[in-house]
This record gives sequence, C-alpha cells and structure tokens, in this order.
Amino acid sequence: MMASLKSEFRKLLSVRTTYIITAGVLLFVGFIAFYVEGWRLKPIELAKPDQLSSDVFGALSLSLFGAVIAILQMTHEYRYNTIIYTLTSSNSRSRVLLSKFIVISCYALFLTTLISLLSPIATYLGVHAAGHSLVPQHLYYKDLIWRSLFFGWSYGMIGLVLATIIRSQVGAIVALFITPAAIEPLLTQLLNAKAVYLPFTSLGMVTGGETVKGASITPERGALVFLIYLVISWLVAWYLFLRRDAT
Amino acid sequence: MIKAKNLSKSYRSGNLRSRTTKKAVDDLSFEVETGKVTGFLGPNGAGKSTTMRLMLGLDNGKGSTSYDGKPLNSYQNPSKIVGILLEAKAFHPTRTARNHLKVLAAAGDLPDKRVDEVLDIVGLSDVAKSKPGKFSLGMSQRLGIAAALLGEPKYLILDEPANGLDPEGIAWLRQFIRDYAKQDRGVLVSSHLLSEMSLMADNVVVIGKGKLIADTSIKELVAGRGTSVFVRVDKPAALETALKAADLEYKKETKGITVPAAKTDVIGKLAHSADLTVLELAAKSASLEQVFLELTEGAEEFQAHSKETKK
Repeated sequence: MMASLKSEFRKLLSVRTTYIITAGVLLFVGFIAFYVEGWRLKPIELAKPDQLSSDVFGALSLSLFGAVIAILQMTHEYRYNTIIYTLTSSNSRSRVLLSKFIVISCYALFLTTLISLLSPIATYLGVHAAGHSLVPQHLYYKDLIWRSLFFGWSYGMIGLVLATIIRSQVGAIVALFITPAAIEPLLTQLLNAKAVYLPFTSLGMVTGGETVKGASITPERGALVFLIYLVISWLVAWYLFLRRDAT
Repeated sequence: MIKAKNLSKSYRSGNLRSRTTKKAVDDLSFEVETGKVTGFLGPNGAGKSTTMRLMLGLDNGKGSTSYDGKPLNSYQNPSKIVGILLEAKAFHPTRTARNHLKVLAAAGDLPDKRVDEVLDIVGLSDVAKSKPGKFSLGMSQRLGIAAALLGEPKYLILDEPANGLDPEGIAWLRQFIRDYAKQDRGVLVSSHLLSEMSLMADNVVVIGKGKLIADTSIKELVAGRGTSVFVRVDKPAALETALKAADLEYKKETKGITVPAAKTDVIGKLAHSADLTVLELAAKSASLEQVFLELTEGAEEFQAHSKETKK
C-alpha cells in the first residue's frame, strides 16, 4: 500500500500541470480577495461581521480546479497508457484505486486549506491597503473549517470518480463543468424545491446557504445528501475499475 | 516457468442492430520456459498483444496464467516477477525519463538508485532529465526496456522491443535478451523481424487469428519443414520429365527447378540417369520466414492486395 501511495504522490508532483493549476488558482484567489473583496469593498460590506467567512466560501468555488487535478491524475494513466505499469506493479486494483483516493484527498484538502487561508488574509490586506477597516469579524472556526474542507475534498472526489468512470480526459472535464452548469439547472426546472437534493446543488448548500426555488437545506444535510451520491458513484467506479480492460 | 492456460478473449463490434462477437484470443495455451527466450509470432491482428495483456491481467478474459505456479497477483511484489514492455510510448510526455522511472520504482517498492542503473544499462543516462515526449521511437523503446528491467524481474514480456531501434540497438537488444534468459530467467518476446527472432529465440509460439499454430523450438520448426533442392541443368524440360517419372513434386523457378523435401544426391543421380549436365545443385533449408509464411497462410487478419490480385 505504501508503495502505491508513494508512486501516486510522485505522479502528482512530477508533472507541471499540478504546479501550474495550483499556482493559477492561488494567484486568482489572491487577486480577487485583495482587489475585489478588499480594496473595492463597499462601506456597507465593511460593516458585515461575517464578511471574511463569506469571502472564504466564495473563494472555495475554485476548488473546482482540485477536481481538474484529480481528473488529470487518473486520465493521464489511460491517455499515456501508463496504467499498464500501474496495474502490473500492484497485486490489487483496489489498492491502486485507494491510493489515488488518498492522494487526491490529500491534495484537495491541501488546496482548500491554502485557499481558505489566502482568501481572508488577502481581503484583510486589501481593505487596509485602501485605508479602510472591517468591523470585528465573527469567525466560527469549527463551522468554517469543516464546511470548507468538506467542500474542497468533495470536488476532488467528484473529479476522481468522474475520471474513473469516464476515463477520457475531455469527457470527464466536460462532465465536471456541464453537470452543475447545465444539467442540474435544467433538472431544477423539473424538480422545483426538491432540486436541493441534486448532487452539486446539495454540495453548494454546504457553503452557500442560498435557496433553490425557495427551498434550502442545512449544511449538514447538504453534506449528507452529497455523501450518499458520492458513495454510490464510488461503488460504480470501483466495480468498473476492477472489471474493465486497462485500455 | 510461465504457463498460459486456455486464454480466451472476445470483443463485441458493430452497432446495436448488428452486433457481432469476434474472438481475439481463442483457447490459447503455451509455456515460457526459464533459461530460454520464447519468440511470439503471428501476423498483424493475430492476438499477440491481447494475449500478453491477458497474461498480465490487464484485460479481462477467460483462462489463467501462472508464474512459477502462482498467479501474478498472488505475489507481494509483481515488479520482481515480471517486467513488461507493451508499448514504446507508455509515458507522460512532460515527466522526465528519470521521474517516469522513479514513479515506477516507487510503485514496485524499489530503491531510486535502481533508476540510474537501468538508465545506464539502456544507454539513456545522458537524457535522464529530458522529457520523453520528444524522444525518437528508438529512445522510447530503450526507456520502455529500462522500465521492464527496473525490478530485475524473473520474467520479461516484451512486445516488439526492437521496433525503432537502429542496427546497433537491435544487436545490443538481442545479446541482452539472450544473456538475460541465461541467468535462469524467462523472456517472451514478440517481433515482426523474423531474421532477428531466428537469432534470438530458442522456442517459438506461433498464433494466427487468436489460435495456436505452433509451439516448438525454432530448430524443430525449421527442421520439420525439411530441405529443398535447387537444380539447374542444360535441358530443363528433360529434367521435368524425369521428375514426373520419379513421382517427385517440383516447382519451376526463373533459372532452375526447386524440388521440395528432397536430397541433393537423389536429384543428382536422377539428372545423371537422364543424361543431363548439372550446372547447379544446392540444398536449401527453410528459413523461419518461409516457415512463418507457410504456417500463417490464411490466418492473416489484414492482407495487402496487389493491383493484379484486385483485378
């Protein structure tokens, strides 16, 4: 198991896309937090005691790129056929998949932590650079931490599970962007208030707190609903990973 | 010893209305002995690569393959049992050659120093820090061979390892594979270079359309086809008459006549008794290529057609 884990970490850390995407995300988060959420903050927003918390949740939308990294980690194997080495080096396909699960979980949590730390710091600096100051902020650390980490980790898992099932790089990335942007909004028209139980919508409830057709669910319930989808998807992905030819 | 037993693999093709099932590998059984190089031959589309993938558990199919009596996944570290080269370009193009091998070394629980050793063996030390995306086919093959050697495995399964190698590289590979097998290890190697195979392999497994055609040593395979005699005389028509009278089959060539499964002294005496002047008389052994073409006749998946044939 340790050998598979070490190999997966090396795969992640020995391709430049990992660094380019991570750096790009952090630069974007830093810029938006400093300039848009800090420097240009309106007086009414300076008076909000939960401004930094909402900035963190807003910045977490970029966790989507954690999913992109997860997709690349899996689909590069098929695109470049290195899967033949990965599977013949290990005596268990399940172990290989578990290693990828752990490595992507670690990366997603790492990226989320960086985003969650960078965003409030950059906002704070931006506000002060503009000569303003925020009212004392109410930061519910426990709530903030679990919701942020769960959200970021979930995106990593979405990417990995899509890549395991679809295996095509383009197909998995398209599914990642199309599902929340087009398919779920269309289903919302059909399901109305029950649309809060759709996977991406329920995950959005973990950080968003917005309503869908007048309905919403608590972050805890949103997380639970999403986890059910995730477990079912992982069972399908696991079965396919074991049964399909490695091509 | 590697024992492949009753390997079978079918593919579905066509659309929903007319779906057909095609057998890529059909109940194939053979062995790869230790201490020997086993050549794996077959026309394009015969199922060689699929067979190798089945042996490694990469494709799901019927049958089983054992390595020294046990399936590959029952070993703690399969990298030390079998090294593979199934495709030359199986690497991430922007991950350096050394990093590519370090990834594989980690997966096989092997020390990183082994990476530099195998890079040295295949002659890629100078480009260890280069990205293999720009490697030539020959360099990619060498990197693939390095990957196969990482775990110092007991068995090597190599699919067309000589593809893209220069003559020097082919000679090196031939000697390397022979030396590797001599260390009580087994090598299964497929190649389209039949002349190379005849120099490299001890045994040969020939398949066509997924089925076993021959599984024997190269010596037996070639010897089993016998020798033919080429003869050139001053009066070919008279020789033909004599051959017919002796009930011998023959084939007319541009400059003479070939008599299959014959001996020079028999043909020589026949020509003498017919009062012919023998200008040339030579025994010809069947080459591996001739035997291969003979064995796989009708078993080709894809065939080229000349203009004349099309007409």
